[in-house]
Amino acid sequence: MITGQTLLTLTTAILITAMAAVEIRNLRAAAWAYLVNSVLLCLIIIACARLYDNEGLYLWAATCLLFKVVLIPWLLLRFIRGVPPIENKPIPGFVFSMVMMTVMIVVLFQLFRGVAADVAPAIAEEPGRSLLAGAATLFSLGIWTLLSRRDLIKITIGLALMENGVHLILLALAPQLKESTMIGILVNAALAVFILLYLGADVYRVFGTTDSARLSELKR
Amino acid sequence: MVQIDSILPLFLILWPLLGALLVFLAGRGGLRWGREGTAILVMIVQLALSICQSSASLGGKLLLFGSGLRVDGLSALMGLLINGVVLLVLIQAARYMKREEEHGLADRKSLLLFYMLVLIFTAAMNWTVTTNHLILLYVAMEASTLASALLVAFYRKKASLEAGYKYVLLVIVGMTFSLLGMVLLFSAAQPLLGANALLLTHMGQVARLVPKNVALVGVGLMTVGFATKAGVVPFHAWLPDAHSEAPTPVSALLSGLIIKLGAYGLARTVTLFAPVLSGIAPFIALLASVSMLAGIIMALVQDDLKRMLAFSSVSQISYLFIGLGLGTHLGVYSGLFHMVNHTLIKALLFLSVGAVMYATGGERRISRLGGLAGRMPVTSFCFILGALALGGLPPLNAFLSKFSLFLALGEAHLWWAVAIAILTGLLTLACLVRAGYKVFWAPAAGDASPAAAEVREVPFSLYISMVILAGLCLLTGLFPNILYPLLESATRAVLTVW
Repeated sequence: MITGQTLLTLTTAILITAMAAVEIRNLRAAAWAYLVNSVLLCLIIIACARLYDNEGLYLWAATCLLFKVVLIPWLLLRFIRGVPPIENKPIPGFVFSMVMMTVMIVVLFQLFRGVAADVAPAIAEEPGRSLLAGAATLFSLGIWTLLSRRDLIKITIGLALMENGVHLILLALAPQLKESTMIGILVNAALAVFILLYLGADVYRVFGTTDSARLSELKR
Repeated sequence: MVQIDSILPLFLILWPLLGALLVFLAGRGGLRWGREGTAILVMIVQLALSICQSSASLGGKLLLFGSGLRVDGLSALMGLLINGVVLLVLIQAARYMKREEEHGLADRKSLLLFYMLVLIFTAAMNWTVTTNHLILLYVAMEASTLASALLVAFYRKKASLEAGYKYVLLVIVGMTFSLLGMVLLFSAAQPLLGANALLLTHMGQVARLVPKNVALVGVGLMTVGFATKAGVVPFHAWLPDAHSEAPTPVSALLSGLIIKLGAYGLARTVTLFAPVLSGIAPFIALLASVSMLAGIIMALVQDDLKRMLAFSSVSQISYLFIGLGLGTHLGVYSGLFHMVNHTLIKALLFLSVGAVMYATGGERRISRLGGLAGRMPVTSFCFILGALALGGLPPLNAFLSKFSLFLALGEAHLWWAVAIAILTGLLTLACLVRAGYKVFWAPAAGDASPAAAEVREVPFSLYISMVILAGLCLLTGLFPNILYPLLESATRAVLTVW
């Protein structure tokens, strides 16, 4: 039996796995954490399909599974094979980053939940409100990753987490979107990850590092 | 307005994709000039079809898949610009990139990819300007970013890789904000308009129906995304690097076309909210004024010709934003007019710099060049004509678009923005004429590039595109009425929605 509480539990779990994907410095383990995050995303979509009796969402879940659980993690794991296994030192330390992310999750979730009814009147009720708040928080964690990490693979994982947040926002706000449109968005997301990793591989070949702080040719 | 069912919009998206396949086959076949010739032929057909599409669109809107693909005046104008400029750039690129191959900067495989990506990129841009679906507008714009990312990083050197990486990451993140804005608006309008809330043709209705606070957040997010795509300050970090480190023909495409897609997105969405949300016009005017002034000040201190032109694009794209953000007839008209002019002028200037680089063995630092006018008369004429045109000197084309923009800003009582726009115009003139004088007329400095002494004018195949663009700048400046039907139709297309 799927209830609003199930959705809330899954939303909490997706935020925790996002934290893991950001904080684990072993890149292979971080990619697996991202995979779990994407599995949870699929489960949330299925839960919504059941809860709101929207059969179209099963197709969303299937395409999400293909692109985000299979394709993107495969690309990440394949690329990680060719680079050092441990992430380049992030800008903030572990403790500061953990505290920051925890504060972000608590504060932003409450903040987004509070304003959800104003900016999205269509989902003023629970559990849609919490789902939107969770989605926006996940998106913010992705942005935090982009800003606080120097490793090109971690930055790519951050972008992928951001895209997962966008996917959840679409689910909360526009579950009526046609499958073909969703496929377009997913293909773009997968291509973006592919191109970032492809360029990342070239960067590693030419610069000898995946540390974005060392990309300073143009800082003049 | 008459509605015509037509397959042309779809064909203009599929034909370059098929062209990319043909280029692949021709390139693999090892034919001399096979890949270049095929790409140019594909674009000649594409331009011819685009002209047919434009003339048909003057008689009515072209529709396909219901109204999934839709060509009105603005789409037709954009299609002409895109396909015309890509063709002219490809004509110059054929010889230019061959030289890069001879100098070891490219190989057979990378050149094959180059031509294929240019055609895929063309398809993505044509899709962007013909889709009538809000979310697919985002998808198509993203596709254009992704197709051009590998072109920016083409040389696979430190600087180009850094520029390519930064480009793709920043533009994707920025555009994601516009997707969020779109979804927010859709969510608010869907209960009232159903699936129609996703159609660009219904954005006017969406603007009137959604609650103001939702509209404000949605429009704000979309503006961030489109401003990032267009390279408006403070979202411009990717632009100078990408434009300067890409191969010069790609720089011409980026500056001439891809940043215009951001302005196109703004025209199709945010502009329609201007009459409803009174704060939009002053907000965009402020953002664009800061951008135009900051862009030209940064351009003034550059020694690298391509980087200077890139910063000038940051400045000039803001003229488009300010006009389109007004949401008035004159504002939109002048914004679109400047879009046409800037596309022609910036493509001309980048191709001229490409010619200088071709002739001097890749030199692009102003301080290392000088006295080229006598040895490169055609290139020097084209560059200085472009410089004067971009500076807004009459009777060249940008004079009229800038002047009509000043009038539009005056009409909206944004006098401070008029003052900034005039000041920026004067600084642009000073910046580009100074660079042109130093490169072409001033005596070469003592530490000038050794190759500069043996410089000769570039071959015909390199300057023909420049001459055509220079001719168009002069023609549209002297006879602006030529553009009037297309521009008026495009303006009406922006402001009149179903």
